[in-house]
Amino acid sequence: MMLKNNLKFVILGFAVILTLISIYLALIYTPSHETMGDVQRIFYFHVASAWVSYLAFGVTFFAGLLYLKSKDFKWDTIAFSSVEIGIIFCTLGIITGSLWAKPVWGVFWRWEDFKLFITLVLWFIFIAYLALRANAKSRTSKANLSAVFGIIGFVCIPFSFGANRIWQQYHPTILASSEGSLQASMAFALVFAVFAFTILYIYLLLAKVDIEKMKEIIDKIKQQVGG
Amino acid sequence: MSDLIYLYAAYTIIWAGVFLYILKLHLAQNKLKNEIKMLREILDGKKT
Repeated sequence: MMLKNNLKFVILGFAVILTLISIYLALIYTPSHETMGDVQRIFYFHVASAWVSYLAFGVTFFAGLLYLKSKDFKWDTIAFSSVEIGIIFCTLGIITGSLWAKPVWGVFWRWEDFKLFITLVLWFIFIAYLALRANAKSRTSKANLSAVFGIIGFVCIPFSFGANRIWQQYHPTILASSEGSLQASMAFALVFAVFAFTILYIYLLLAKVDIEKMKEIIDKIKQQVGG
Repeated sequence: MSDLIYLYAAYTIIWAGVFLYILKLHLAQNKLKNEIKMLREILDGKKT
């Protein structure tokens, strides 16, 4: 337990150092964008937030599958913990995307852009996941419903990731096309921000899983005290 | 200059969001640790 706590704080410390470096890279090291100016610097953490939300919902998907296969509640705990983190980073991705869009597009949101629309659908699906879970009565029905919903939600991710590559509407495609590719320093800052947020995600997941385990311990002790 | 407002807003929201979530998890962990300790004391008291 002590070793695990120490490991968690080492990961948190590592994540803090990496994020501070990534802020330096995004705000100082990289040059201003030729057409968008300094507002383009939002994109480093917008992309990193979106990546963490995909990663978190991906973990929920695989943990849900493993729960359905094994019926071991530990997988359900991991799936649920990851959803909460995924929603937070999906929310941050949507907000920062809108704040980037206003000066560049002139509006905060474009309903006709399929990437924006499907990302909002993804966000709503996982909000519904939490609502359903909160209203399920038994531990088993909670876990079964969550696993199924987690799998359904994950189906949106390839569409959310690939929509701008397939339909090429308003949302820019940075990583795929050679004409829209980034300068080396910008690409480095982006990869660094994604790496920093991934380490942050690992810490948050460990912390959230610990909390859920402690809640289960409390329920067991309460049953013993009550009995 | 006006565009920088959006940059400041985005960075403030991201870091405030991340910081508040870490704080929320930390406070929840401490609260649950204390609750477990208290319940174990009650349980030990019942046994003896």
